[in-house]
Amino acid sequence: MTETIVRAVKLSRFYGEVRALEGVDLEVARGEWVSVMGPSGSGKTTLLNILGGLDRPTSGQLHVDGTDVMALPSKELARFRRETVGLVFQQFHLVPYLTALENVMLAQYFHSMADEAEARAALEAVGLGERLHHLPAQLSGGEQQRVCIARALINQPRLILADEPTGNLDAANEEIVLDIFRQLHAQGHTLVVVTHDARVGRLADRLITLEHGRVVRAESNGHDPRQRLAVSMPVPEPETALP
Amino acid sequence: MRFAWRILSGSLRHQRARLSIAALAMALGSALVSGLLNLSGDIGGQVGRELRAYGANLAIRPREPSLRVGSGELDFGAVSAAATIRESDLESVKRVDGVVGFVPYLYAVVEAEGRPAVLAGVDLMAARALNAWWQVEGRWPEAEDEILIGVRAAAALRSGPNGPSLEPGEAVAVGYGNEARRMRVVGLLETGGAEDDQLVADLPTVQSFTHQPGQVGLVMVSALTSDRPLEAVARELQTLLPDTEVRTLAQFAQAEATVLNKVRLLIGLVAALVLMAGALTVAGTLNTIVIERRAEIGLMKALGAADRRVAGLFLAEALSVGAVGGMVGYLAGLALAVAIGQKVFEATITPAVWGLPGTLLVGLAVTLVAGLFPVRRAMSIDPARTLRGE
Repeated sequence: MTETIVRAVKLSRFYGEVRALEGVDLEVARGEWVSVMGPSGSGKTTLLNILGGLDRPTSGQLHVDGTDVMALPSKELARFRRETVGLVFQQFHLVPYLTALENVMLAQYFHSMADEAEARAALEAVGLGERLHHLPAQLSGGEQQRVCIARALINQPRLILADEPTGNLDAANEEIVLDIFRQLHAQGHTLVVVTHDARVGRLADRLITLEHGRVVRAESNGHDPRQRLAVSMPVPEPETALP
Repeated sequence: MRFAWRILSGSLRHQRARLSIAALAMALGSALVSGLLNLSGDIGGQVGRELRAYGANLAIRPREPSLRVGSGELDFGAVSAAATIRESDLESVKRVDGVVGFVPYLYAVVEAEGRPAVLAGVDLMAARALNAWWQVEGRWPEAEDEILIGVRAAAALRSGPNGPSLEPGEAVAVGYGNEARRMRVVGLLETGGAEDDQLVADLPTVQSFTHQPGQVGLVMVSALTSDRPLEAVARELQTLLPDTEVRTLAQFAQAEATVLNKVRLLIGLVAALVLMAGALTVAGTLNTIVIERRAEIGLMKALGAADRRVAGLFLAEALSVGAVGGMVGYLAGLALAVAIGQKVFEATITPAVWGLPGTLLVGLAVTLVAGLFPVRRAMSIDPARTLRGE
């Protein structure tokens, strides 16, 4: 029996007359990789923002890792973001005046306290051991995205949310990033990835397609995450696994 | 804490050009505050001494007056030709705290060119030092038979109001009791006061002429009012000279206090206005920074930063601007105070003990207040929208 980490019921988000999201039901199992696809304006990012506690739905219910997210006051919502979710952005959103190492430590600093050794290990795990003290402007797009991933993982989140993580990358860097995602998935991390790229969509256990704020298709890619983990490696605890 | 410092220093380096301008604006305001603080200790004394150029503010006279002296607004009351003060008693006046100087007078009613006139014996050296506005056409008396003549007396003695005046170089016949002397006018005196109607000679000349050696009839005292009230100086003088009557020239004291307060108010107002301009610059700069860095703030919030952490980072930036501006301003203000002290008051200004902490405190407080609005704006940033680039 797989444990459900995300349970969303009839999520709707309206901006005035605009219905960005309407009556979306979604369940994500722990360790599952779900991709969300759909044309621009279909509500993918809105859904991701709501799952990550960056936005509140107009109506519906949302439980993440047992927490009733809608009931959280804004202070607790900030705590939810730093303790439960890890965010990977298409635009990377690195602080320009902080080095790669410091950008990762920033997430630790907001979470509890900065630990340089831990941050260094996280960057080494994504292959950036030689680029620790480079500023974002001195890094390639792929490297910046890997810093962003290391930052998302540093506080051992229960849920990793990625918005077009390969959208700004060339083919080679896309492959590197997807490989990291495959490893994360194999290690038992739960991933919700918004993408335009059908190839990325196919890597997921399940693919959900949104149109006009509604789920129009939900298809399984035929690989059960538990099974796959069982054949590939022993199931590690997400907390102890390397990013 | 160490990591917070890394963020702060990185951020300050990143925006040094813009923050420098805000710090410069704060430095201007702080310079005035520093100047004010460094001068305010001394400025009271300085302005007081400057105002001393406009005359005495205390009068000492014998107890039993019999002759009124003064004219117009300067009514010194009455002095007695008979009752006098011993000049030797006045030595102690110099030692009274606050007294900058005094001018002893001895008046006599004489006959000049056959007309009654007042002959004033004045310690001319003291008068020249304290009454800077006395104007002499010609020169000051040097010999015993030399006198100054007041401008109105000069006209009256010769030929009435419209005739030619007595001029320096001419002699005047002066009679007192049975004595008669020819005195040479060496200068025309214009003071705007009672002296314009009088003959003015050096004090010893009048003392010997009127057979009152070592006696004076009136002492005009100049005292500073910045450190102690004039009344306190008056009381101390009264104790020292019990046989006299010490009076404040309230008019002067009041005017002086008013001017002093106005000077302080003026400097304070200018400092407040410049500080306000500095605060607006800081607020504007921080506001621009918040707008430009909204993606970064949105990111921090998306990473789960508590509002107080985000606010703390921006307030720390504001306070850094205040600290740097305050420090630079303090040094500039000190230089300003020293320059003003030298150029305007010809005095050396020593740095006030509370100059640096006071300036820094004002600088920090102003930037803190100026930072509140931009910080509130930063707190209200919606991470979801800013990360989308809206």
